Amino acid sequence: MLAAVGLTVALVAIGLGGPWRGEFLAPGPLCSSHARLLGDLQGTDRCAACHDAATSSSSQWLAAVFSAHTPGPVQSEHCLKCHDSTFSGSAPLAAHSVPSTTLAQITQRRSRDSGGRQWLETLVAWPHAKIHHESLACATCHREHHGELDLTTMTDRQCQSCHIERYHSFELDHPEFTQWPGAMPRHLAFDHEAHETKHFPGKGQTYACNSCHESDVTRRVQTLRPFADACASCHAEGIVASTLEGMDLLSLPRLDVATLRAAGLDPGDWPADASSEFDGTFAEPILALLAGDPLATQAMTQLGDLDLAWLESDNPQHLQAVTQLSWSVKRLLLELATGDRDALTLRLTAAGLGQPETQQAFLASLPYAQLEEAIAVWFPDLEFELANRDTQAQTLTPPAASLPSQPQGPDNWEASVAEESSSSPNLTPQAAPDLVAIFSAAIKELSQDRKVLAENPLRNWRPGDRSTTTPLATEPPASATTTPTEPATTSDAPQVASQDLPQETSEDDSPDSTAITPMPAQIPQAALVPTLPAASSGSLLAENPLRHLRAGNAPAPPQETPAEAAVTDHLPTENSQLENPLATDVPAGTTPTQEETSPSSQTIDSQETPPVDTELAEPTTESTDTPELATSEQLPSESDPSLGESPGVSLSSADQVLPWRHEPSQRIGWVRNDAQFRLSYYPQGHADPVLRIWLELLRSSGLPESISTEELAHAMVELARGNPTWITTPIKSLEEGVAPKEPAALAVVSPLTTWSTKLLASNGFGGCARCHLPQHREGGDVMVWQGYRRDVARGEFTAFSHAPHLLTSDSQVCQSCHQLETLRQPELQVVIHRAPLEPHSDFRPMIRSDCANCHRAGQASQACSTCHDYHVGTLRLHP
Amino acid sequence: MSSSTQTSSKSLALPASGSFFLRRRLRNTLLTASALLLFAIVVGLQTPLLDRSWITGWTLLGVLGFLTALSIRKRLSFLPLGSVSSWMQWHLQAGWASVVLFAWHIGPRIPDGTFEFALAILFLSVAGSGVFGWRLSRSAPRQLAILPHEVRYEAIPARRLALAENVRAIVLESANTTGVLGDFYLSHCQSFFERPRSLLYRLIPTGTTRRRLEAQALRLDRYLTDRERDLRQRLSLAIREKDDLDFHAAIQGRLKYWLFAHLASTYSMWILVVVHVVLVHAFRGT
Repeated sequence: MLAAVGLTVALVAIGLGGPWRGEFLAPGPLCSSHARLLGDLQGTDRCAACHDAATSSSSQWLAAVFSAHTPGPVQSEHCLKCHDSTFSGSAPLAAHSVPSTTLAQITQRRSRDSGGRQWLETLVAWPHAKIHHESLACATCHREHHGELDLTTMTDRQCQSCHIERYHSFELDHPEFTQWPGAMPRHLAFDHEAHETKHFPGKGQTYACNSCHESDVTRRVQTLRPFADACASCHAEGIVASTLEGMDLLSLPRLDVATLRAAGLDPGDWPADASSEFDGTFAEPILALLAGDPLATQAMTQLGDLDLAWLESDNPQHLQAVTQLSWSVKRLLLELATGDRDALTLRLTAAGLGQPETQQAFLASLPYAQLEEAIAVWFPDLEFELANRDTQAQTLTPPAASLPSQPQGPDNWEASVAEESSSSPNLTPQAAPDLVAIFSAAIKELSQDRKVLAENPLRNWRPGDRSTTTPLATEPPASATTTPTEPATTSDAPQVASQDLPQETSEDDSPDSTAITPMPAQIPQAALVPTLPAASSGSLLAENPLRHLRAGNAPAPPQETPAEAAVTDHLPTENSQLENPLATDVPAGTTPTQEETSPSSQTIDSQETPPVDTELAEPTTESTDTPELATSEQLPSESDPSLGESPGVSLSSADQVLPWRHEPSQRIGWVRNDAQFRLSYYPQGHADPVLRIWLELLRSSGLPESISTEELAHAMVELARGNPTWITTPIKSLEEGVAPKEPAALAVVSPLTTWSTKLLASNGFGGCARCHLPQHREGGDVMVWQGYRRDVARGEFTAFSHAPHLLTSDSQVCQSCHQLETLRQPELQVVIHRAPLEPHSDFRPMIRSDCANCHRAGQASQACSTCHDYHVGTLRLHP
Repeated sequence: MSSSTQTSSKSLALPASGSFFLRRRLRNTLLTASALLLFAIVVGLQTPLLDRSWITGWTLLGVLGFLTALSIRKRLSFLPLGSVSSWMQWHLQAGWASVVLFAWHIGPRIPDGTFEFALAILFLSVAGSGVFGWRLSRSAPRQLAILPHEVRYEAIPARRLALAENVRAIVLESANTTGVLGDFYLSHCQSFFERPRSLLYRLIPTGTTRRRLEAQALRLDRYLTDRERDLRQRLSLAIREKDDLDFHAAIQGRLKYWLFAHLASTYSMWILVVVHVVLVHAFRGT
């Protein structure tokens, strides 16, 4: 007997003392996953990867028998070292990996619903309440060292060990579903019933679920097919049709400059072709950007209806307002032309437009190159004009009137702002006092920069002052004395002598290229700006040689000089894309004919340049099918009787960089219309990136869902006092007539609302909002462009997988579970489908028997883990 | 063992106190089964999230301690701890319960770790030797009782030696005649009488060798004289007596050595049990 005991002791000592101790003590093989991970480790190191005791002494082992804890960290901490990405939540070791508070709430609700029927189980079972507050070790359920057995297998008894409410089987006594599959967040406004009963039959198509839905890669969920597959056949055409007119970023109304001047007002330069009578309006984005400008908002409020066709030309206040508004627009245009993002960001913030992210995205989406060129063509002296105005305003006394009767400089602008703020604190709901201060500071900073420009010795130089010697150019080049090629305007100061203008081009009248030399030869690069004509001095506009490029008179130096080459090298990339013939194509010393210059005029400021239509590129005087879109040969000209008399018109056909236009349905991207002074955007169709950014900007602006009674009452009171204000009329009120129309019509609609309504209304531009619903988030609404999709990558309390259920793609299979709820009141459908706040389902909730038809004894599984995940919110290891 | 012996053993009636033993056995069995059932209910109502092997392991450890206490009780006979007979009865019931607990403890699998497999083997050997001893304690007295005379285990070697001398004398006496018996002894019987029986016989004693030798000796009669036939009959009696002695030795040897194996494996098992308890605490996953 002693020998047997001695032999046993000896064998145990050998087993524990040798290098094979790990293998000797291992209670069994690891599962294959862990075995592969530890395949390179041997002996004690292999054990120590998970067990601190592997490297502990025997005395520590003995101590562990009498201790509540093992030597070293708790075992589960070792597990989480590798599985930390899976269990990234705040409570990885809590029951169900969800916070204890959540479990406690669920337990309380379930206990309340059960009516305390489980008192016996509660009495004899483990103290379940402890589960809520204690961590459960991984090894509680996952028993390693059992070889290839599935570590993740859970039995029903394991589930029900914690759940007081215990069920014998799903078929018999599982609780009835309360709302399954349940209402889902609505990302898209889609009415299944209408499509089944009206739209599909109306088109003679078969309503089939798989027309729009398909399995994802995991096959667990049914996702929406792409728009091109599911929706485009019916909706793509409508989207294109709704965008045929384009969305104006810029548009200039016609101003009756003569009337304004007769009234003693100075609107400054204004394109001659837009200086005949009051008509049109500014583009909505421009007005929205001005919503934070106190002077502009005051002017807009005074005008009321911003369609100048309704302007009362005999109303001095209206004339003052439109004059002020024109100057405010010009300042904004300068910021747009120079790409001054800081100033534009301030304007967005002051106007209450968007959040920082959406503001930056919006600014990034703007076509600065096209803006620069458009403004260079429409307002060639804009920067000088504003700088000069600011300089002159410094000597003027701030006006006492609420509306500036005289041009205001930056200094009196501040005073005016202060006055406006004190007199009409509620004039602009978006312009909070702090924003006004920020805006004022920014404008002041900008004005400081303009002071520098105002001090430019060339500031008084005008194209007509050709005899003036430029102070920085000791020897002005001969070309500098030639006539600049900017289009003349109705401005007084930069008035260009008609004889200096390039003669109106006709088919037989080519411009004298030798007389037009925008870049003086042999001028150092640094001296380019001051030696250029004043209208382009010191600005990005001046640095753009393309502004001197006019169709039909594209000048080219007799011989390309190094300075010209340097200029060419410094052309902005955007301009380089325009294939400037001045830089490349036009031979030196030659005068390009219209045919030769037509390619430059065919350049389209768009994201996607359509192929050149050679037929349309041919010089012709015939009008096209789209009269508002003129080719270079259809420029408004003095000789064109259709355009009427335009004294001082300088926008000759040779002076314009004109967009190339195809049929309206083929316009894509940014298109400039110099005849109508518009810079418009034509989306590419569904999911247009620019349109998305604009919608996100507007959605994040926090437009009210419904009109505020206080705001409406305030607007009414102010209107009665003869002090009209505007209200941020909610989109819904304009769209659906939910809010009272008449009071809203009496007040002035915010330009922000106007722009928002145009884009966010269900029948608005592009019709995006017809389907895409905003999602409410803290800090502003957001657009979620994709349809809602259940996140099956992570565990769920109830985890359903379509994969084993979709035996066929027949719709009957889908409809066996998803049956349309047809009892809805038709008048509520629109409201329901367009209410993003309320999760909603078009289908009636399922009941337990729907599932128990198959999940019953002898048929499909009834195990808890069939439909429920234990680890909720953690990455699913086996999708 | 001859067929007549087996027949006679079947005809043995239960002793007068048989009903008492039967009742006691039934009572103890019912109590043990009830205890196991109650334990199963309690454990079953507890949460399965608790490591069931933890509960069954500690319970099994306690039962093993009780089983081992019988040996201590035997050594402490002066203490009023109940009769050894009662202890033995509860030892038997606890032994059966330990087997159930062990099966519950390890679950539906065979331990595949080296150490745990050795521990399981030792437990099974202890349990097996216990069951073997329990069955032997029931069957051996009856088997020995049917033999014509009782022999103490310690006297068997001397009796075996004396019998061998007697057989040698018979063979020498027949040497003066035909010599057939002498040749038969040398070729078939000498090792039977002079050497101990094989290990297989001691584990599973049978009368095969005896019957074979008796039949061969009987077939020699046609070659023998009358005198030699008398000697042959004496040789056959010696063969039977030798086989009875070997049967005694085997049965009594079982009774003597199974307990030794049972205790030796028990103590060896306890060594591994202690190491096992330490390991599961040191390497536990919680």
